[in-house]
Amino acid sequence: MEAFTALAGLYQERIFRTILGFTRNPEDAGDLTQETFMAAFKSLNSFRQGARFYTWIYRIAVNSTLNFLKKKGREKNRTEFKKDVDSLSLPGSPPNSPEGESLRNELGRRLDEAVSGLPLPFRSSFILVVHEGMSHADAAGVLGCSENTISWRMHKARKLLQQKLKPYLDEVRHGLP
Amino acid sequence: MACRKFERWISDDMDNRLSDKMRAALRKHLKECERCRSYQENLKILQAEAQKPGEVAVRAEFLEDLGRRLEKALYSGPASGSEKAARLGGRWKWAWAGVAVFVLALAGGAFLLLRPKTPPDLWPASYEDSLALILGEIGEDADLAESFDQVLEASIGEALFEAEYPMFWEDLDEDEIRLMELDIENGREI
Repeated sequence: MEAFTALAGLYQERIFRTILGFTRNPEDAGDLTQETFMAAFKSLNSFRQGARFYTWIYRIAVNSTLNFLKKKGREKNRTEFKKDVDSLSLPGSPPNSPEGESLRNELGRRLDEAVSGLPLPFRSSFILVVHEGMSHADAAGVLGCSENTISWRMHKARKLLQQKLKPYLDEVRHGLP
Repeated sequence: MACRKFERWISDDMDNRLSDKMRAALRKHLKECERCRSYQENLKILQAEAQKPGEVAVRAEFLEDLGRRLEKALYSGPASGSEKAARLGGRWKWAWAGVAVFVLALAGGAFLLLRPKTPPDLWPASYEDSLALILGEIGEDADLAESFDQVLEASIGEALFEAEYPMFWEDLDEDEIRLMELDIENGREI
């Protein structure tokens, strides 16, 4: 028990931050972190000798989080990711001016919203590959699918995000030196 | 068709997944295609923006409290009542699964017994027979022959493209399949 508690102490913050990347809500992320370590403790006998503890617990954390998000039904209205950009209003300032900097900040905020609005399979692949810096092979291992599926999901996620944020991206691009 | 393929390659290139040969073909296409160049530049901006550290602020006390909660939960152990309920729920799941398999087997058997027999002359012709039939129709008509060649080349190209990403749909879930269906219904590429 002491050894497990020590390991939990070592990894809890990294696991918490990973989960937070999915939920964007510290309270939910805290509960899920606790649930992850409890689930890991209960199934310690399924932990293979020679496997990395962090990889194992990371997989439990991601799967618990995905189940939580599915159960909460948050994805119900998100699967039909709207392509329209009518709601986007661009500030009329050149991107390399101080106002341009605020355009970039606005892009960051909008991107955050758009990623949160992606259908769950696309979002989970995007977070693991782009935010967590995983290879397609590693992300496939965590999500239990093939590398080709991750590749397709990444392509679709990027394409949807590009369509959603095109006015901002074009504006930023034209302001680049 | 070409841009559709290269859009996916652009995404794969960002994740270091392209072979040297594919990367060279992508570079060549990008030199010639303004639209794909813009698409790639937009994705690079997206990538850089997405890789910036997240801004969800978490107080240090929150993390300390989380540590304490976790330690307390680990030492107090799981609640036995809920585990028992979960086990009972699991048994019922298996019972329902058994009933479902039985009903499916029954329906399958009924279908096999009751399905109408197809007359042998309605079975589709072999590939060779179909080709001979089409070539007979084309005869000496050069325009028709050229159109047929184009159709063949297009379908070969399509097959080669798919072969680079074999079975990518094998692990898609219901949401993704529904999205693909919507794309197809709305005439969008998948």
